[in-house]
Formats: sequence, structure tokens, C-alpha cells
Amino acid sequence: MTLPYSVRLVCLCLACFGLVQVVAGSVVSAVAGRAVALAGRLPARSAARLLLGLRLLPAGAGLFAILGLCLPSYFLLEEEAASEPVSWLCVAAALVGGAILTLGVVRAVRALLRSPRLGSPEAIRIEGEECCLVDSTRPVLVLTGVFRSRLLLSPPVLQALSANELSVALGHERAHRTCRDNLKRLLLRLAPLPVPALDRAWAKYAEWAADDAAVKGDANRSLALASALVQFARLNAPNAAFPLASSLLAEERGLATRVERLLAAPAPVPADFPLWLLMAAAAGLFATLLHPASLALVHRLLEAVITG
Amino acid sequence: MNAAWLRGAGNVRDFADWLRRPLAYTTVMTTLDRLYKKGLLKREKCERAFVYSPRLTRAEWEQKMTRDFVAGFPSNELLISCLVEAVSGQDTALLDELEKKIRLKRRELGGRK
Repeated sequence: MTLPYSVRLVCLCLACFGLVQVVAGSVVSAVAGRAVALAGRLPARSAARLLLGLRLLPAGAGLFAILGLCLPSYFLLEEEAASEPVSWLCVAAALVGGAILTLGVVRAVRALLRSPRLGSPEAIRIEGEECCLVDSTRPVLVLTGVFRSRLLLSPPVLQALSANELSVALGHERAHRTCRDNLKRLLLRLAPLPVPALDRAWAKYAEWAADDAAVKGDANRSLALASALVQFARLNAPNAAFPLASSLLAEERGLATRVERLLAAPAPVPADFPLWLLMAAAAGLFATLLHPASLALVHRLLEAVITG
Repeated sequence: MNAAWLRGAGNVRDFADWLRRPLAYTTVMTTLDRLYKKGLLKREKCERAFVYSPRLTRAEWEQKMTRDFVAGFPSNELLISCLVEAVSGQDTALLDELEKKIRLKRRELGGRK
């Protein structure tokens, strides 16, 4: 099949994305069990980062293949006038890549559409934190919104929790905001991968990490958060109905473990991983790939993909 | 049935050896025969002995048990309300237990001050 220059580029990008997704996805599926076991030996925040990184690796590698490999080598080394046949294998890989991308986008859009629609809720300030008071008889304590997150509270929660409990519960939600957990939930939806164990494990460690950040290694705050969780569970709080929201108690299944963890010695908050190190590594990798010799090698590989 | 599911097909001697309990040969034979008559095991004659094997997998048997239990209940609504009550009772017990642990910890922390 002979395709025009730009359509060939799209086909090549999708094929590379599909191939990388399938290969990296298989590797991630194979090591997921070990990664979850390893995460159990790490501090909660590191465990959540490890699992999220692994979970998003296939999609990240696929995007990197498009942006870092396909586009530069194609634009710099592929002659626009050259007409080149595209193999059926390449078209099939492109269809797989397209299907994965479409599925991801559909899942993300559906999750965004299921986000709560807020009219104009009453804004209240608690400990300098602006919260939206939702007029509901159901217990609500949830951080909603992906980029501009808002804390929603309902009167039953205000009545059930003491000042200390409320303070540390809000600290828990603030930690979700700082870690951009709702954005991470959206990314998980954008990057479909049939390994639900990784998603579940990430959600658990993200909650634990938010607990640690709210508690700040203080035994009394730890106790207050444990108590807040039990009080919240007593209100028969509904499970997280919104896919892109962080609730104080997303699922009651892990309640006992969370409370017992909080009652044990509070975990110290680990130091932040130096982000500049990652940025420097990424910049170094890009510089290496943009070297003419690397581009030529990539171009030869892409020719092999196109011709099957 | 556990032995049949875990061990697989076998004759009376195989099961008696596998169980590693001081059971008489005739006791094992009678038990296997009763399970066969209840339709839980099937048997085939192999040489001079019967070879017994489970007629249903464990999952199929559990499904059958659940179906029989539900069918034997006077009304579905009553069954559901009983189940909900049992589950919420368990939840309340768990929350009470957790609250007790929190109270103990609070007392412990208060004592340290």
C-alpha cells in the first residue's frame, strides 16, 4: 500500500506506539506482581511512585517513541517526494496503536464527564483552606477536579468530626492535591493497561502516602486521622463514586489496615526525590537521540517497520 | 470431597494412603460409595477396583450449594435483608473494634505525657 508523506508519518507513529505499547505492556504485566511485592517494603510515597511509574511506562515509552524517535528522524531524514510502500504489518500495528489511543481517550472523557457538576456551593474557610460546603445530607469529604481541585464538604462530616479530626482529614486531602493524585487518575485512564492489580496497589499506597503527609510523623495527628477514618466510615460514606476524585475513605476494604498502620509508629515523611536529576537524565537522553548518528540508526529502524 | 478435588481420581487404597490418617480401608470405601450415591463422585471400574473422581469442580459445587441455599429460602427479599443485616453487623463490629484500639492508643499516649 502506498501512502502520502503525511499519512505515512501518522501510520508510522501509530505503529511505533502500538508496538512499544504491546512490548512494554507485556513486560510490565510480567513484572507487576514482583513490583507490588517490592512496593510493600518501601515507604508509601516511594511505593506509589514506583507503581505509577511502572503503570504508565508503556504509554510513556510509546509517546517517547513518537516524539523522541519517529518525528525527528522522519522530518530530518525522510525525503518528502519519495513514495514508499507501507506493509500490511505496519498498518496492522498502526491500527493497534490507534485502538489503544482511542480507548484511552474514551476512558478519560467518560471519567471527566462523570465528575461532579457543582453549581455555586457556599465557600467556607477552615484553617485558611477554602472548602465548598455542599448542601447534602450524605457525608461528603472529597477533593475533586483535575487541574483546579476543590475540597467538597457536607454538613454531616462537619458535625461528625472533631476539630482535630477535621484538621488532619483536610491535611490528607491537601496531600492528594499536592501530589496531583486526581491528575494521576486521569493519566491512568488515558493509558489503558489490563493489569488492575497495579491500579489497586497504586491507589492503596497513594492513600497511605496522603495519610503520612497529613500526619507529619506526629503520633497525636496519627491518632486523630485514625479516629476520623472510623467516624467517617460510621456515617456509611458512599465509596468513591467519581473516578477522578480523592475521598477520605475511598474504599472500606482497606480501612482496618489503614487505621492499624496509623496506630503503629507514625511513618516519617521521606525526603523529596531530586526532580532535577530526572530532568537532567531526560535532557541527556534527548541530546543523545538528536545526534546525527542516532537519528540515522532510528531512521533505518523505522524503514524496517514501514516495509515490514 | 476436599481429598477428591486436591488429589484427583483414585481408588479406595489411593485415597486411604493419601489421607494419611489412621482410617480403616472399609471406612474410606463406605464414604466414597456414599458420595458416589449422592452424585458428588463418579466412578469407573478399572481392573478389579473402582476409580472415583469428582463429578463437579469445587467452584461448580459451591455454585450449586449457593443456588440450593437461595432456592430453599422462603423469599428473596427476606434473604437479601438478612444478608445486608449480616454484612452491616460485621462492619459495625469492625468499627467498634477499631474504635477500641484507638481509645487504648489514646490512653497510652496520654499516659506518656
